Amino acid sequence: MAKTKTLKDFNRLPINLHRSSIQEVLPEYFQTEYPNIILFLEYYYDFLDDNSNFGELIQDLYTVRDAEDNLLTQLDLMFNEFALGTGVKYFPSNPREVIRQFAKFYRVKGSKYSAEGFFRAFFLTDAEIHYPKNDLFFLNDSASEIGVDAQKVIQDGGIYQLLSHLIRTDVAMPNWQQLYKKFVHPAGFHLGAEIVIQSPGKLFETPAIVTSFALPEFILAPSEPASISENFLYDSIGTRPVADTLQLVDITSLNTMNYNGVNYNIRMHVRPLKEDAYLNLTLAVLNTQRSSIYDWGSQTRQIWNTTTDSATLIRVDDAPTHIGADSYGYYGTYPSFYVGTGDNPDYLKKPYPSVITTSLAYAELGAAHFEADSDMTQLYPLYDSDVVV
Amino acid sequence: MATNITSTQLDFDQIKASLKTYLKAKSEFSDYDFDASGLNNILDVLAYNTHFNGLIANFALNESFLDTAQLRSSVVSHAEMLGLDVSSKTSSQVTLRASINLSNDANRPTAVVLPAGASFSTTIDGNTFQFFTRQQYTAIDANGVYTFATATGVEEIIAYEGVIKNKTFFVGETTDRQVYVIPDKNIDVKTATVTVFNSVTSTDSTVYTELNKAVTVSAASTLYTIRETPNGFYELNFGDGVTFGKAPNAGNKIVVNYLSTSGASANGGAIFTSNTQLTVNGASKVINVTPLTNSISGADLQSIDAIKQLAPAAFATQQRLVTALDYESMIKANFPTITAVSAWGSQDNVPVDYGKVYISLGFDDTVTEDEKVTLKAAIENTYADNLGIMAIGTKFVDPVSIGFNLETQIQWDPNLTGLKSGNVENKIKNLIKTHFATKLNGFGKTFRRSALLTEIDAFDPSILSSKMDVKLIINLIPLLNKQQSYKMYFPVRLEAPGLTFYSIESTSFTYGASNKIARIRNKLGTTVLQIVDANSAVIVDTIGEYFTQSGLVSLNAFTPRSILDGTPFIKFTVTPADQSVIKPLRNYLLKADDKTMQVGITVDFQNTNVVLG
Repeated sequence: MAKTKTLKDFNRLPINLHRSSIQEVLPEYFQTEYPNIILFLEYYYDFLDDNSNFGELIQDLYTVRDAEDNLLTQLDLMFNEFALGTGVKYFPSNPREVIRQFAKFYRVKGSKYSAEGFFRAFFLTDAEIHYPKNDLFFLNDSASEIGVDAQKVIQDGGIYQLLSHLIRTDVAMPNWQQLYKKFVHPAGFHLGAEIVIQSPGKLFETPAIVTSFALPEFILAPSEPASISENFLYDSIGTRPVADTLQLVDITSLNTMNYNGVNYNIRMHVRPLKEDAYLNLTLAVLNTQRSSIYDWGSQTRQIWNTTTDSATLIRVDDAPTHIGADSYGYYGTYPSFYVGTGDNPDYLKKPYPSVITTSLAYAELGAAHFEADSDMTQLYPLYDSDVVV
Repeated sequence: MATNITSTQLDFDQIKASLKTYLKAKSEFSDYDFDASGLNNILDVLAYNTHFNGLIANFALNESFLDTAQLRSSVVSHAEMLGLDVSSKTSSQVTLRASINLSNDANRPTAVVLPAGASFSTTIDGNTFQFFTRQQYTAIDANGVYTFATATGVEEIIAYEGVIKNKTFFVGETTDRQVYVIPDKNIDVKTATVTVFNSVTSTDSTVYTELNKAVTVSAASTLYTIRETPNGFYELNFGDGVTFGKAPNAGNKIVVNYLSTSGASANGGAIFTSNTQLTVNGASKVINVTPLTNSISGADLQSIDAIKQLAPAAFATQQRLVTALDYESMIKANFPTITAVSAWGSQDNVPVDYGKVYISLGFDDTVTEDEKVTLKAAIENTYADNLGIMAIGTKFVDPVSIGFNLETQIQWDPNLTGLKSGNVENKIKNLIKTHFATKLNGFGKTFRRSALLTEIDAFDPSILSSKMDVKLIINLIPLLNKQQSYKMYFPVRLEAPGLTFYSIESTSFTYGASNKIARIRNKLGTTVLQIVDANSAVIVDTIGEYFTQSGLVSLNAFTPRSILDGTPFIKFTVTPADQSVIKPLRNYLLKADDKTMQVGITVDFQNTNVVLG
């Protein structure tokens, strides 16, 4: 007979009291005189609820528009109504939650919130929304420095202009560009992207990939620092205390690193040591604790706090020459590749490795940040000072 | 479909057989004879019951979703929930210049008023349509000629097609929710005005405002909505004093004034006469009328298919214009005479631009150039400026037609058909034209050569196989006798230059002081464009260049003197890098070029053995 409760209603539906009433409906003497009639009719209703019949569909009428409880085929039809032809397959992890949020998502369309929500919903990943207008060079602006370490760029009519925004995510742009334009992107704005590629291998243990990376090891002091001036951090070679590093963060003075036969300069960015998990550990040791890049990646990424993190360091620096890693907006605790992106997936085949080594240091290998120009035929370096190949 | 019931599951005989099998499998009934008359009758009844229940379940589930609903009432209801204002019929409208001449009158008045409801008529295809003004216009004396103008002084009046109707309701006890049904399927709800009088005889009244136009909503707001009812009429709704405003009180009188319209059939009227005469100084005066446009913008009831298409987009748009898709949805929903829309952000334009949304429109054939300007202004002023992101502008661009030069070659066996070769050639040409007219008509369509060849192969058994060379055409209209640079953007990658064939060629024109017959083509093995004469001698070694990756064809300092084929344009034909798929973006429309279309026939008698050698 009819089901009294669905398997997944979580006690949120009215209790279904449907039951067979045949015995009650028929005259009482039928129970003694014609028991088979009662049985016959009950079998008939069982027949209706049989798998090959439609009784279940009648039961479904109660929940057909209930996103929490309906069938996925019915949920797909709701996606057609609410989500411009997308379907359950776009949101395999939790389509029911996604469809409930779509109206809110549309209402904030074009906002930072909607962009972040888009990547959470469609790709289960975080995206950082960056406004390149904040990186523009302005004359007579104290924040606009001139020199090799200058982080400001001249307006280029492409990514660097007022009507532009930049998405930083670990999903290749061709995978999300059209959907993004359909659901989020304010028409008329330049859309740029930077991508984070997480290598499937263990970088530091695979000499075939990075031949010389075994050398720079961080030997961390065992105690918490009392102040930033203490020598508790070391540069990427592990030979210079942090005080020197801070004062000598100059791209021309750093050592080179060989990657697949090409020498790259290394640039260090340091921040206060916060994470005990990495104290006294070398990269080699850390690697042994992380079985794969995904393991590294599972470490919580931290939002770079420009007040308490490296910006503080830089401000105490006697001779700051650049604003360092805080310009990237967030900070990783896992090795990764930053590469230039664009519509052309070929670019993804040319990783320019940069490695977020630990929470202590950000060692960067050469030309790391690129943006494809408008016709996707040429890459521009985003940070000139990084291009040292 | 929402359900997975197949039609065979709803077949009575099959239901009965299944029921019989099911019951026979039960031990209690395994030895019963279900074909005996009594039991057989019971099975009939139960099978019918099953059949009807199945149908009802099927209908109920299907009507629960916009995609699968069949009833208009269900589709309309779903669409309303998604925020789509389902359009009623829309009155055609015409802009007129109207005046009266009192130059021979003594004691001319300072001003003359044309009241709302002034009537004009036009005839279209033998049918006469009445047009009415919906507001008052005033004319002032200009040497005895009085031209009616708006309050802002624009000497134009707008008249709407239809029959002016009033529907009166008397408000009863308001303990129950009141719904007032206007029994007219032809109402143009946008023309409705709702006036509530204090009593049946009172002249004190309040004009209610449509909810969509409300600026603020309170319990005391006087607002109304009109929506389509399941039987196709329209119902007038008020708030309940709690939700979106107050309802009329018991004893009030509600008068709904509206136009009952003929919809799209009143579009295209070009000659108008006035049915209204004005009385000035006791004498009737004829109103002189000059139409400034044809009658336009009339539309029939939104179809079920259109509602199904527009409702999800309306939900996504949320009354805001942010993405390019929002613009497309808005235009489709509000401008029924616009048949095709393509919108894209200026960042995707070629050349790249920022801070704008580009829109390209396709119009109904009856829409004139003036009317197109009017519609574009309405899109920009009414919607884009108000609902778009501030500082993002709107730019309209004309569609660009990409011609297809198609050379089709078929293997044909005359023994398998009664058609003559000439007939086959013409029929295949017509098939190709039909393919473009039906399947590639509009923005964002993709040409697939294999799909077209499949249609050609299936056209007649005598067609054994087929192949097709595809080239693309842009018609350049140059300035004659004036040096000018030109850029033509083909929406595809172009073929790389070869050593034995030309990837780009133009039709003929005259060039230079001696008026040499000339044409443009690429220099073999290069992307450089040259001007050559009729004997292929080079006249200008480098007149431009083409770019294989971007599809750009660029001409510099080009000065043709005349065009030889009598057309105003020079035709540039290019070979795409991939002839099998042409997938244009933005504002490109795909058209088959009739003049260059060729169908070659190779006779192939299948039952004839050919010995080679």
